[in-house]
Order: sequence, then C-alpha cells, then structure tokens
Amino acid sequence: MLGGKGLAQELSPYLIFVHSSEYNPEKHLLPQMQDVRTFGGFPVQGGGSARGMYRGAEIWVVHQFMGCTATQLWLECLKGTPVRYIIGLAEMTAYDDAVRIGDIVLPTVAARGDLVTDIHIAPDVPATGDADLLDRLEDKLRPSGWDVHRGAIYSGMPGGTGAHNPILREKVWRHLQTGLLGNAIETSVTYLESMRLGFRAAEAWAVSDDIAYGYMEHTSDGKERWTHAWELIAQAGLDVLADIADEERNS
Amino acid sequence: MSLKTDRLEYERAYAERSNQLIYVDPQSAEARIINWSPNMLLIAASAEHGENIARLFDSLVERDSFLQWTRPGEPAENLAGYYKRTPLSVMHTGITPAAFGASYVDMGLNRLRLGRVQNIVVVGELSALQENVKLGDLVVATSAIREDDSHLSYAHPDLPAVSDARISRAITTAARATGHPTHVGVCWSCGAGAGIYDPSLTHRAWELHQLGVLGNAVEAATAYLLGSMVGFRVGSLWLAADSVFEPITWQHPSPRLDWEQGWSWLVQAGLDALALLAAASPSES
Repeated sequence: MLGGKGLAQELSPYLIFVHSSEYNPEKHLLPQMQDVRTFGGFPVQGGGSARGMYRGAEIWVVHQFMGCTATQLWLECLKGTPVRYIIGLAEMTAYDDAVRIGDIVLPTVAARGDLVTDIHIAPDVPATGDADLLDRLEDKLRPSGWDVHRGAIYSGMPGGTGAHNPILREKVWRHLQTGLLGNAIETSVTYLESMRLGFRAAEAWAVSDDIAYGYMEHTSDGKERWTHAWELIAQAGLDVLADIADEERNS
Repeated sequence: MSLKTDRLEYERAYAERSNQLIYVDPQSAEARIINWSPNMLLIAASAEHGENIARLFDSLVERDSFLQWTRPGEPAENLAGYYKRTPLSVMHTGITPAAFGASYVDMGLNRLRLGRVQNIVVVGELSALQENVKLGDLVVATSAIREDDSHLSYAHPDLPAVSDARISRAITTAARATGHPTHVGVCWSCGAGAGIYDPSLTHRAWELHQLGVLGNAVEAATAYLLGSMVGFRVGSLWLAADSVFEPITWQHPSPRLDWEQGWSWLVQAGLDALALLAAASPSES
C-alpha cells in the first residue's frame, strides 16, 4: 500500500530513524557523511530523509517530528524496502533525578502506553529492542565516559506536553516507583513495528528535560550536555551501522 | 534529593515543571491571542489556509506563531480578531503539512490553560467510513472511539471521549446553514499511521462501518478527553477528505484539500458556530 516503488527501493539496509523537533540530524549526522543527498524538504521539521556514505557504508537518515502515529506510518513505508537495521535517535523526558539532562538512555523495553501498535501486535507482547544492537550502541558510548543508562522506559505520553502534563502526575509517580527511566514516546512503536516488519531496531535517546530540573534551558549546562549527548548518539549510531555493513561485506 | 523516595520533593518538582510548561509571557502576542476571547477555533492541521482564514475576519487585532517549536515567520499561525463583530481567535495545532495526531492537539490545548478560552471548536479532515459521507461533506463528531496514541496516558479506556453538547449543537446549526451535506454522529479516532487504510484494520473498519461510525477523525478523542479534563467545552467539525468508498487522491505539496474543495465552508461553519455561542452567552464574551 505504501512505498514499495521508486525512492523506497533505493534505501540501503542501514537506516537512522530520528524522532526530533530539533535540527540535530543536520548538525550531527550529515557532516560526518560523504556524498550526501537530501529528499523531501530536509531539514524541514517533521519530515525528510537523506542518504550518504559513512566509512564505506551507505546510510540513510529519516527524520520525523514526533508522535506514535507518524512513527508507525514511516515504518509502514519501509515495509518491503531493503532496510534491515534501524537505529532510532531522539530526545526524551527523564523521571529519576539520577538521569540528568544530557544523559543518554538506551531503552531495552518500552511500556506500551500508546495504542497505535495494538492494531498489529497483541498487547501482551513486550516492546523490546534488539539486544545485539543495544550492546553495540553501549559499547560505542561507554568509552566516552558519558552517563549512559540502559533500562525500561514508558512510551506513549503525547509529545509536546508529555510527562509534564499536570494530569499525569500520579502516573509518572508510579512509573518512577517501578524504575522506568523516563518517557520516550516513539520507542514502543519503533520496536514493535520493527518486530512485525522484520527490521532489527534499537534506540538511543538524549535526555532533554526531566522532572527534577525541567527543560535544558533551566540548568546551567543543560543545553551543552544535551548537544554533546546528541553528538555521541549520532556518532554511535553511524558507527554501529558501519560496523555491521563491514561485517556483512566481509562475511 | 531523590525524587523516587521523597514524595513531597516530587510534588514540588512536578508542579514546577508543569508551571513552566504552561507559562505564557503576559506581554507576548501569544498571551494577547489566548486572552482575546472565550471562543477559539482550533485547526487540527497545519497552516496552509492561514491567509484565507484571516480574510474571513472583519478585522484582526493580532497575528502570530507561538507553538512551542515554531519561530516567527514559520507556519502554525494564530490570530485574534473580529468575525461578524464577534471577538474570536484561531490557533493551528499542526506545524508541518505532515503533522497530525493526538500529540499536536495535546500540545495546543495545554498552551491554552492560562488563557480566557472556554469554548473550542476543532476543525480538521476525516476519512469517511460510510458511503453516504461523500468527499467534501461535513461531519460533526458527537463522540469518538478512543484508539489514538494518547489513549492510555490520560484516562482509563472505559472513559468515553464526548463532545460538549452545546458546542456540538451550535456546530451542527452552523454547518447545515452552509448548505453542504452535514452528518452528525460517532467518529473513530484511529492513531494508525495509515489510518483506516491500514490492512490490519479491515475487520475493525468493517465492524465500525456496520455500527454506523461516520469516519476517522484522528484528533477528536484527545480534544474531547483532554479538553474536558482541563475544563474546556469542546466540539468538532470535520471535512470528509477521503473515503473507503472513493479512490484516494493525495494532495501535493500539502496533503490538505484546497480551500475551494471544502476548507472554506469548514472554517466558516466553525467560526459561525463560535459566533452563535457568543451570541447565546454575551456575558462570557
């Protein structure tokens, strides 16, 4: 129904999928790549894609603004294309004060607070990231010495307001008690739809705001830490995909 | 400090975050718009028709972009002015042509918490599930089936998403006065990316078709549920932009129908409904 012809068939197996209202893909991904081509209005917020070469591998970047509905649509568009590996990059709200603005979160599992994927996958199936890709991301990120957290998150609070909505105070408190690291809106859809469509997917999120401190602009070094976290996850995402491409070429 | 073990500290921090979220600089154009009138038209789409909407007003007192992630000169425009001598305001929830879904309505409604707005008419596009709902028809959603992406965040699934009866009645009156076919009933807020055209939803769409559900209005459920939780009176009016009974023609470069294909009467009906509400309750204005 969607895709399957034209540009979609030119996609490489290695894709970076960005959920962000910011311009980080342009800032942190494209300058690292060679022979870059852009499509669909990139870098307009909310949509666009690019391709380029990185360490000999052709990498594609798809950038969507926010929300589970749009995420599901984008992934559906990748059905039947050559895409096999997806690294999701985005920014999230952290719950626990141990997870600071500018830290990095690798979501292992997402609590399914949205209903978008229920139409495809029964609610008792956990939204789980690809363990090998998560390991690879962690291995790339740890040597930096940056704060990296790996664990379960919640997905589904509406974008824009999300965990700061006064209506959600009790829900967020319960999440905090159960050890959820924060709200990463699109992870559950990315993981579940990837399972359904045959992609291997993992995500890395830069914390842009939290309950303890608020938005990045409200802390003295929030913006700088968040920017650096984006540099790190962008680099890690590219390197993980390039490593896999190398291994596949040499196998 | 540990938020996880200190409930009081958690409460303090959470309240502070929420206040930051809804804060509006009282000197800003945003404040002037949300304080202009108790009656607002909320466009659940991006601002392709912003110029045409502005021209419907007798006069404008303010025009601006203020959604959280837009910058001056970018879309998502909002305005305040007099429409048929009634003070009304207009806000767009969509930022780009691809923007749709519950998240955008959530963001828009939360920006209104500290303003004067009480009555909200949401307008947008709908995918029709009934053969008699033709492209270009108008649909008043009296309630919405909650299957969108904010579904479990706000409330337990058994809470219905229902429009405000007074607002719905005003919308129905105004929509019928345009002379275009107007349908009134239950809609589906389906958050699937491909909407009702997702192959997995064939059975579900058939089931809802049999029940007489008029079509898929993605943002209606969140608008009703969140609106009532925050304290707004919300109703919605939709333009049938595609249908399971008719071939889809994607719009380019914008996915929206043209102004002449229905948006003109959709917006006018929404504004007329608000003018009717204002006339019925002059003390609120």
